[in-house]
Amino acid sequence: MKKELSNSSLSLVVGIFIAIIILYFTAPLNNSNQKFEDLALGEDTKNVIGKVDGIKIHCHNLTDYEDCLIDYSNYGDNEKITLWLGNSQLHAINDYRDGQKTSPMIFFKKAKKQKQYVLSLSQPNANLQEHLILTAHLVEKLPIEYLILPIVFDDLREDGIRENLKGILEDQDALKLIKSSKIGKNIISNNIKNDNSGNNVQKSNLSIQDKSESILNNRLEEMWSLWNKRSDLRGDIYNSLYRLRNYIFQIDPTTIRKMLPGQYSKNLNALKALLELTNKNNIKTLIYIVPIRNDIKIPYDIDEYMKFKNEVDQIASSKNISFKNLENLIPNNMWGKKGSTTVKNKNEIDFMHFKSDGHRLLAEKIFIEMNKIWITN
Amino acid sequence: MVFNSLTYLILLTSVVTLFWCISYNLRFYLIFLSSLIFYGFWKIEFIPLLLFSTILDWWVALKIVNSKNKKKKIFLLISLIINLGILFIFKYLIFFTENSIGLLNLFNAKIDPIILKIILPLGISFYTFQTISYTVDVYRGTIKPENNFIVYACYVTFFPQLIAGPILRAKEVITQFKKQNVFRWDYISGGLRRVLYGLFLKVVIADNLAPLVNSGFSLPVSELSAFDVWTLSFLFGFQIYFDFCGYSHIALGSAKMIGIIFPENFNFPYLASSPKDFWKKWHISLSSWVRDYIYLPLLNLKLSNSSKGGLGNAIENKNDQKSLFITWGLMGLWHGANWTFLIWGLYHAVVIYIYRILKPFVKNFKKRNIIFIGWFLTLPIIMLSWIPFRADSLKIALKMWLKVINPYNYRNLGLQENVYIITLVLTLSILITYFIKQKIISYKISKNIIIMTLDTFMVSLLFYFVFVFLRPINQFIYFQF
Repeated sequence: MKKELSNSSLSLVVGIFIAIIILYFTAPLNNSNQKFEDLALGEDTKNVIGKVDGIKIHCHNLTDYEDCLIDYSNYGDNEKITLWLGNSQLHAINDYRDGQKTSPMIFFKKAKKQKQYVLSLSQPNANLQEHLILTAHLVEKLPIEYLILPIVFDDLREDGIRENLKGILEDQDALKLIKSSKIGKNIISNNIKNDNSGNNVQKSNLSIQDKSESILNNRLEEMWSLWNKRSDLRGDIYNSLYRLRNYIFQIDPTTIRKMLPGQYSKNLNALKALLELTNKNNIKTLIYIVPIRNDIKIPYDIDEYMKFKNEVDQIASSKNISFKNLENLIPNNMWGKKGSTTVKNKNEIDFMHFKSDGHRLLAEKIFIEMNKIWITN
Repeated sequence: MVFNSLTYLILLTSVVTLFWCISYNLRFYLIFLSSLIFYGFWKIEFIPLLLFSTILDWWVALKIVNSKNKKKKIFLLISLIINLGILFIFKYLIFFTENSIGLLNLFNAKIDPIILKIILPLGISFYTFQTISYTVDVYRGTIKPENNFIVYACYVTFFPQLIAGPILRAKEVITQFKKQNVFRWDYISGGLRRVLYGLFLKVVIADNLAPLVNSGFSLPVSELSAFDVWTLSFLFGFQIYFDFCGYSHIALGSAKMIGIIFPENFNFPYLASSPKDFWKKWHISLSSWVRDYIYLPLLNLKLSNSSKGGLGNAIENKNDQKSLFITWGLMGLWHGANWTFLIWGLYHAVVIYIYRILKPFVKNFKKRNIIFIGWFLTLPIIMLSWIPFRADSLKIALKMWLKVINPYNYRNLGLQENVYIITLVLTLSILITYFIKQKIISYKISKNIIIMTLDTFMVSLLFYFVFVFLRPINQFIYFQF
């Protein structure tokens, strides 16, 4: 009995010791590891954070968006804002070379001549529910007069609100706007942190536990580099599982992605709510179907994709919104390949992110379309 | 305070260290004080309510013993009325008011809705049941009342079980508290293992399932297929199991670190071979409480006074289905003031009722066949019961159930591919874990160096993942009950 107990204690101590050593070995050396949500980009496609003449005009989340706001207020001319929301297509350049610019950066320069200030906000795989709450938040904070909204068939498979946007649900002004639609209420009820009575827990009403946890975490992050790298380690674990899944099930970018009816209907409802919101706030909006690589069979069910395009067109007409289908805008030579998203080292087709010439083409097309709207207003 | 937090790990380490360093008498004060700190970290203003409930039953129990028959009953009633009254106000008043107004308005009463904002005190359902069981046991003469308030207070407020159980019997715990325990390393290593294992189930598995479940249940039911409903019911079944089983492991481990052994609360429930078997393996302390203080008294049978699961042969000759349905209705409502929980309870009553009817017909089958076929049928039936438990409303729950029985709904898949993969992997994992635990480790090879190496590897793996994923991002599901 005694022997067994000592064996048990020994294996516990040794096990924990080994785990700590492995943690130190697997912890990334710096914090620049690829984030899970960026994984589908692959290694040859690069995120470019948009700065034009030192002004930050493109942001990714609510944290760096503060920098965009500061630069906007420092800009001085208080120009009308044209907001361009989107997914990674806006901030990722395939086959990137130093100095190349994204569409929002090119568009910013062109729009400046028309006394328009362009602010972009894009997140990988951003869904329309996220765009809805983001718009509700931003219209209360900024003098937005125009909105450009890409509609991505792929992203209609996404659902929920990512952590870095959930802070919006504590903004009472935004909440009022979000609540005005059924889908908005649905988003709130699914994402807001409630106490036991169902009341919304505000930051000012945190428990002693919340406060102590925050203090302890901050302290540990300052004192212990390994603790600080836990989020990167989590990302690595998710990345590995993602690659493993793709390898086992032979999933690559050419694999047909079926439409998910539940997510699809929630996102299209969010689109309707978003367009109602912009109409109410007198924001002129352009929506467009994003460019997709079409020299290879697209990874969608063609019937579903056709249905999607028709529905978006109908929604735009019913809300009296400008709509463009830009799916064929980018020629074949402006698309490339990307690094592997499985455990195998094999380049894969990139359907979503084009080269810098593609970015220029998209910026020019959007400029032409927006110019029509600016002129009539 | 939640278990899956740094704050709790610091509290636990401090309490365990101090406990083994101080004298026997001071240990009670340490446990009591640390339990109040533990509770106060959620909302300090609810500590008086907890203390009131504790003092009331301690006092009532002493009075019961010193009174004669009629007075005994009066004291018991005082305890029951006050305890259940508090529970009613905090847990059921909103539900009762809303439904009463709704009912009256059906008859054109035109009463405006009353908006009540009542916060449900954490753990109230658990500590109320525990104090009631103590008073009833004293009334029945199965235990003697505890004279020392601080010892009794430790029994009610003991932090590892205060918020979500296991619901303990006084007889099982007070004697352990009073025993002068001597420090043993296996208390620490055994307890730490359980805590580690529990944290793994909670922060690595349950918390990562939560977003998938939340997303699935937020989709319009009209867009879900029957396969999707099955998958979501399985996935939530796994989430709630890993969440609550994780909590129970941490509770058992924390208590063990100071030499207190709690009875097990789970025992591979999803491998149960019948609905009756399931309730011997799932939330054992609650099902045994309900058995002893509601079901058996309704059948005029004696309490068993133990939190071990199962009915044995106690009801073989009884055929009172009314008691079965009443018990399960109450069991459902214990979980929450909502029609969905009532339906969940009644669903289980129906399933057990059908099982009782069918049982005699399979008596002549081979035991191995009965176990396998039983498991194959029981698992989906149990999983389907989680639909009303998780759905936002009764309407949604019924719509989801209807999806399953319509063969035309078995034509497509509407969830993210990962959801199906994860559900399948978890189902297989439970089977494999059970097989390894029951069939391999139990074979006298615990001294084998290979097993020790595997054990060390398992600990490393658990620690690695717990370290990386430890975040109090989600409350334990059972905290809301």
